[in-house]
Amino acid sequence: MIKILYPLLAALLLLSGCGGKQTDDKACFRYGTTAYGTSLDNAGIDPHQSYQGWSAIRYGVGETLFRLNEQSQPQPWLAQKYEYIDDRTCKITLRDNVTFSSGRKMTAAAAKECLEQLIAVHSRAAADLKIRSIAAAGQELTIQTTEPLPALINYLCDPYACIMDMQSKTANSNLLAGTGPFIAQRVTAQEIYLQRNPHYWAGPVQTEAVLVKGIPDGDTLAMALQSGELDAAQGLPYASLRLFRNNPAFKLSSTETSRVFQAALNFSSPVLQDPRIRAVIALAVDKQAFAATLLEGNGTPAAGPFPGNLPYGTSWRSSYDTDTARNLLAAAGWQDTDGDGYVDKGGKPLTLRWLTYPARQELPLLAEAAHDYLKNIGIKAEVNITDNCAVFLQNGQWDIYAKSFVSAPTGDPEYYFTTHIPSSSAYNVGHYHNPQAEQLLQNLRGTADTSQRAQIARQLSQLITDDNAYIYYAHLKMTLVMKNNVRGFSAHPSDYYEITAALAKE
Amino acid sequence: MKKFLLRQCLAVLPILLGVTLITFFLLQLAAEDAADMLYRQYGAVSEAVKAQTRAQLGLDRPLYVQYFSWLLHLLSGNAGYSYISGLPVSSIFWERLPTTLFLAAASLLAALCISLPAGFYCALRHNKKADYLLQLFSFGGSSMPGFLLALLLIYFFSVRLQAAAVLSSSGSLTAFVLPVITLTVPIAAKYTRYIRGEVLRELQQPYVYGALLRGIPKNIILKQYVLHAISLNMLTVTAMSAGSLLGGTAIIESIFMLDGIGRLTVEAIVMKDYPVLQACVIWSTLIFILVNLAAELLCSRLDPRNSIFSQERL
Amino acid sequence: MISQKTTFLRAILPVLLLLALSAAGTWAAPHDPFHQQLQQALLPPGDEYICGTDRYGRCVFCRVLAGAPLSVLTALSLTIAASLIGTTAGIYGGYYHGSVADKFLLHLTNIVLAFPGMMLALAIAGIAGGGMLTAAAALLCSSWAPYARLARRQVITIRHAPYIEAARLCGCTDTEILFRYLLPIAVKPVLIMAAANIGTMLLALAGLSFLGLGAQPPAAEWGSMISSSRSLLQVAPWTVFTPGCALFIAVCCFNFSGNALHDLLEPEHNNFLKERTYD
Repeated sequence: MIKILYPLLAALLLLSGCGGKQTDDKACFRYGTTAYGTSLDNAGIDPHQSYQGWSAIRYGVGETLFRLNEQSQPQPWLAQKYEYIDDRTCKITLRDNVTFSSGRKMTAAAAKECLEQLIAVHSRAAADLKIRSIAAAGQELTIQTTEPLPALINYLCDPYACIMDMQSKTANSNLLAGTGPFIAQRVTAQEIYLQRNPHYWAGPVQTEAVLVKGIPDGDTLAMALQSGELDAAQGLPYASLRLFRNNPAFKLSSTETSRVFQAALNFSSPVLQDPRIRAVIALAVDKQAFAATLLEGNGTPAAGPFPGNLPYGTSWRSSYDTDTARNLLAAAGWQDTDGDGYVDKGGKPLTLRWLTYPARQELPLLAEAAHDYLKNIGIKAEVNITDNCAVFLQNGQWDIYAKSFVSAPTGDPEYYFTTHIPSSSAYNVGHYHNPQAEQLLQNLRGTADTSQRAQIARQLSQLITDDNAYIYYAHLKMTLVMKNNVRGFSAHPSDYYEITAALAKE
Repeated sequence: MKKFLLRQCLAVLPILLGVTLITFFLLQLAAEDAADMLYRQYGAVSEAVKAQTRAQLGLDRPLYVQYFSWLLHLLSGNAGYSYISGLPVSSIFWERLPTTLFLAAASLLAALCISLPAGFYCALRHNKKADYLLQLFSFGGSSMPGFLLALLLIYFFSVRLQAAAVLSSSGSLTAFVLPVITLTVPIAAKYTRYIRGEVLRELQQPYVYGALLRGIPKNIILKQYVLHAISLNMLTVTAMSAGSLLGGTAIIESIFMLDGIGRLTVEAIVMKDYPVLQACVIWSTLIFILVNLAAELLCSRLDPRNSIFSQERL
Repeated sequence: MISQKTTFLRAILPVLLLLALSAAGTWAAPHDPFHQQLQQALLPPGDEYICGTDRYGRCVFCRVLAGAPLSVLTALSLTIAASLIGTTAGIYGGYYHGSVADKFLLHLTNIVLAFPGMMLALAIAGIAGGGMLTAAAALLCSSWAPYARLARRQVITIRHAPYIEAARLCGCTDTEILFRYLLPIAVKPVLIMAAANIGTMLLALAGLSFLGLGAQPPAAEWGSMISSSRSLLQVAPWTVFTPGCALFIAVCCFNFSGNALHDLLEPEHNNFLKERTYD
């Protein structure tokens, strides 16, 4: 028996050794991220599928017609210039020197194919872009919208508008040809393997190959970076960042983003229909301490949907006030009569169901912290952290729904309000309804002037914070950690430009 | 013998049927069905649309009809499609299986390689210092939470010493070392104690005295007789362990990011991808049953007494 | 030779200690285990906090203490419940050997045993949604079967023993025979098996919590504490290793007791491994 056992073990180990794929070449840039995977709806590079466009843009496979700069203003990218012929028609001139990695030239006809396919299958894009018709002639793309749409150029920055060669799409492959600096060679639910695009239109690509690995677990990610298996990582747990901050072998690149951690309040829930209770919830949490301690300074406390550094942002002011909160609770008739530490009214304790999901590491932290802050003023929070929020939202089994959301992905405030204010909008899960806000939103849609738009946006933000329809906790500071020998890799406020042609490993 | 074989195989059939029954009805516990899952990306969809979809999918039929149609599909090799990726679940499962099988096989083998000598050594040094020391280790090992051990190993080997890969899916030899060690420790610990007990009991048997009196050297007795005697029980025990490893690797695979069926199960749970979950349960149970059956048949082959005495399956 | 009394003490003492600790739990804790003080976050072990604080500034030691009832008592009561259910089913089936009920129970037992244990528990807990209660129910569903098989086997071997027949002739009812004569026979092996399984039950429970299928924050369950502190392994190892050590010690205690009980009741048997556990 022993005679068989040991050789068997040796053989097995040997087998596993030989089975290993040798993809570890030195030139390959290995990038680990928590932001890629099936649970985030972005596993793939087909921009027409849910959020896969984000992956296409982030990892340098595809490009959009316009690109947001550091100040979140759209700049021509695949486009050369644009002009509005009238308030519903926009003429975009495309670059003449761009080819897809399939070899096909990127013409207006190709872009038209792609965009038409997009609005046919992608409901969010169709709702945003409001396209009536697209005309293509040579390199000139003319888009006509069903209503005046000043933010069209901004929406065309959204990753779903990534221009891909629709003719390269085949039924049994998930690969697509884009115009970016890298060409996808292998796309799975766990990783994307990319190779340099030798014919990239905007100059030579510095890196031979890139392996993007979706690693949902932040700790594994941190350790893989420490052990040298990765060259760079995104989405490290905040607690781990201090391991790299003072380490000369690594460097960090941080930037403020418009990703906001917010909580929607459920207006269908009887107890939350009382504006005082909603105000109490907003007053109860020390956002500054949350951002400073639990996010370890990788976030800034938020007073509105947009960070204060944006023209339409809300500047920070503290709202933490437990005394006012307690007084408001008492004024609303909630008092602790049975001495259990929780307020009650008519024999029923005040219990709020806090719903959130674990995919973003900040949200469980927020939930647990808020639980204690609420307990502090006598409200019992039942924390429900589940990947399956949709079901609870649908069944109305929630009072507070905390989520993370990029509030200005296209550099324009309209998108956030469109998705969160109207009663029928996609993310207005709490059935918030305020005619005044909807009127303001109509005004915003009809206004083309940027500073006026910012003015209205600030008013709107103020209105929804006054109503406590949404409570904003913090804005994320995104941090990329990389080995010291990595060049041309930095965090961008827009969250979706990561791998570019400038990326190099020395 | 042939009759016995046939009987054993037939006895498995009702169990298989029961397993499918339980697996199928388990999913009825879920709060949402396939129609809900199909529409979850699209936000709110009216119940009327969902009812139509349910009718299309046959979800409005009585449960037993659904069960039999599902069973028929299963028998013809079609276990359904993933809610998330749309791929056939069986192919997803078989793609992930080798990793888990390898993990299980390697850790079982390693555990046997460690525990056989250790167990014999303990038994021979019965109640001496070395025995106590090894027993203590085996005690600690079997009480160790797998995830704690995994975290400790990662911390020391991958981070501190940088000797092992953290990201195991690169498929290299080192990638499997830490997970295999993590899985091996508790099994080896348990086996050591078990083998020690078995050997001690076997050494009390009259045939050992007989052999000793006949002047047969002790190590021959140990190698030829005792080892053979305990190997039958070890076979059964190993088969049981194989079963517990089929689901029990979930935590380890999640920590080490290995694409095995344990992690697939956890992912399917997280994503509410019920067809995949169902496939994981069904297929791994089937494998477990087959492993047990094989072990049983092998046992009866090696020791005919088993087939005579085990008239009744308990 | 160690006397029976010492063996008994050896068996019972660690568990008594654990139980006392669990009962003391929150009461013995020097700080409020649920009170967060963000300005005190991640303090290393020191005078004020002997095991340091977690990232919410809560005393880790107090949380581990507060978690003891949740982890230990749940595992204990689960094992008791599983063995009770299993034994009842087993004795009943064994006594009415060959009846429809017996056949049903036998098949059910065999079917449940055919599943890889953790797989079944994972699937049930996963489908029913997270939470301590569903995790416990899932473990219960998949852990009663070995006891049923064991008890049934015991009863079948003695069901026609002369003293049982005699009892029957004396006019004892079936219930009386079941409880007065058969139950005591089955109790011993069941007890041994249950004692050996508490530790694995504890590990299985912590494992489910670790995967996010058990206790929800801010509950102080050990498995979920380890899971939520994983990212602090390098920065604040005490947040991981304190609950980890507690879990390890608790499992050791139960295993030790189980072993001692086994030595006490049936020193000659060595069969504990043949039954299914959750590895």
